[in-house]
Amino acid sequence: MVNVLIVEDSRISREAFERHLSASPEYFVIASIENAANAEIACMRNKIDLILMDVCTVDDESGLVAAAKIKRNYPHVKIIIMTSMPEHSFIQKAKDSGCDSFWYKEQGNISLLEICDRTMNGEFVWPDNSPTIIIGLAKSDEFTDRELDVIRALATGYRYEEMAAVLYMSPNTVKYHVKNILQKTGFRSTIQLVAEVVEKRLVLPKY
Amino acid sequence: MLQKLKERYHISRMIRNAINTYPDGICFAATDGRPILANKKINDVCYELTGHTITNATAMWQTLMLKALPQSHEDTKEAESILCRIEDGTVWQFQRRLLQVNKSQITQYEASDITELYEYRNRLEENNRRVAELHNRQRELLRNIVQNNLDKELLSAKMRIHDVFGRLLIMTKNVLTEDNDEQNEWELFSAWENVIADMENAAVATETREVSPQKELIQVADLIGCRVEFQGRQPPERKALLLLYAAIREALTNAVKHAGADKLTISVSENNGRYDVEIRNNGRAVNPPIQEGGGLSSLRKRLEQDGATMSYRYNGAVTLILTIPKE
Repeated sequence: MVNVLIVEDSRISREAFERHLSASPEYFVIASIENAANAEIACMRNKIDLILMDVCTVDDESGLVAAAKIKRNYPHVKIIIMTSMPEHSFIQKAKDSGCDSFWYKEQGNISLLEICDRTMNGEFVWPDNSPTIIIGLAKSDEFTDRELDVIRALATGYRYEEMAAVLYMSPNTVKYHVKNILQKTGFRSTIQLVAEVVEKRLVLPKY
Repeated sequence: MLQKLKERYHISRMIRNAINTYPDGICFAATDGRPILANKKINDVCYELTGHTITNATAMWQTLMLKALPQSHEDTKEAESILCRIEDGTVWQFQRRLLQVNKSQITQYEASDITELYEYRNRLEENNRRVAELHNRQRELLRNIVQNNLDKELLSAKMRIHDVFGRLLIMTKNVLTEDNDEQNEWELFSAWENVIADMENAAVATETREVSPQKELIQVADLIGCRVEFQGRQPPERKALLLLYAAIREALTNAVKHAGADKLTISVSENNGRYDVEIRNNGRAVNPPIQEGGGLSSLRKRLEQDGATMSYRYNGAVTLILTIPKE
């Protein structure tokens, strides 16, 4: 029997996951919570074997940050990161946190039970890429990694000099990337760009 | 002899003519301020500013310092400089530097018309200020975009419900006012049934994230065998509430992990614009002082950043004492 903790702030999804897992006698949902910061506490008495962890949870608590802490203190607990956000950095961050698998909730090419089974069998199940979305005239996979860094910094609200400092590049390089991004997307201003990337969730600066 | 005198006179006139044709003002003076050589321009500008031509350069500099434009005094290794505006509106930069000539020291004063440059600088400063202002507005806008997106989703769900209700009410009115067969009534009944089922889902879908944090904390504490009791009213302010729960989580973890506690009591009281919080546990006694590890020290940092304080009381098991500002 695998004891499962579900961390998910949408009640509809939480109940749907509980239903899916109850279809298999292998899994027992020990608790469903909506705040990722509470997940580490739940692991303390070693009752949890598997965590289904959402990224964006209540009170802006990041499931990725919580997962990193849990993996540090309770490395035997398996963690599957689940998200519906196309935010491009989540996969890498989840890998850096030591998570076991990563599941796009709305893509449907693999079922929840399947990813749970494979993860519990010691497999690491990861998607190749984050979903491609359209930003202006460009597809999200047309941006280089550096351009995505610049877009994230823009969405965080940094000025050019601040961006230059956090990204270790010269202000002129920042301007060069911004110019290229605007050219690719066809936007006239960075405000337009930021509005679109935030609306389509290519970048979620808080998580 | 006369010839020599004539020659010296001639040379000095040539020098005077030469420096008078120099477009900027210039003056050389001994270190005691006695002017050695000054051109017409610098005398004219000084006359405008001080009411007399240069009789003592050091004294003139003192007077100019008093008339300098605010914050225009600059002092570097090579030269000292000030800006002055004369009555015709032009702005002049005065520079003073020390020269070494044949083992003796001479002070050189220069005056140059920088009116245009000065206006450009002012305009640049004004532009920079406006850019900074625009940037702040952009930042504000950015925050709004995120919130607006969340609101938009909520609003569209509400509109859907409103829409469905409206249509159904019209249908009901028709059924009630017109002669109707049973078939119509049956259709209406099932339509109402559908909308009620939808409503239940919609209510959940549009639910904002307002499930009690208290309930969830009690739930996870229960999982690790610790009972949590709350006393007093919890802060309604979001910021204060977030700080409170960050502290409770840390206290709960430490009490169970290090002190073997199975009960945690949180009491909150409101005093003079702040919340006084005590988090007690029934675990083993701890010898003071407590060693702040990663969790406690990052909690302290977070609390202090938002104007809250954290301390300990040792009466048996350690009690965490917090003050959290309301705003």
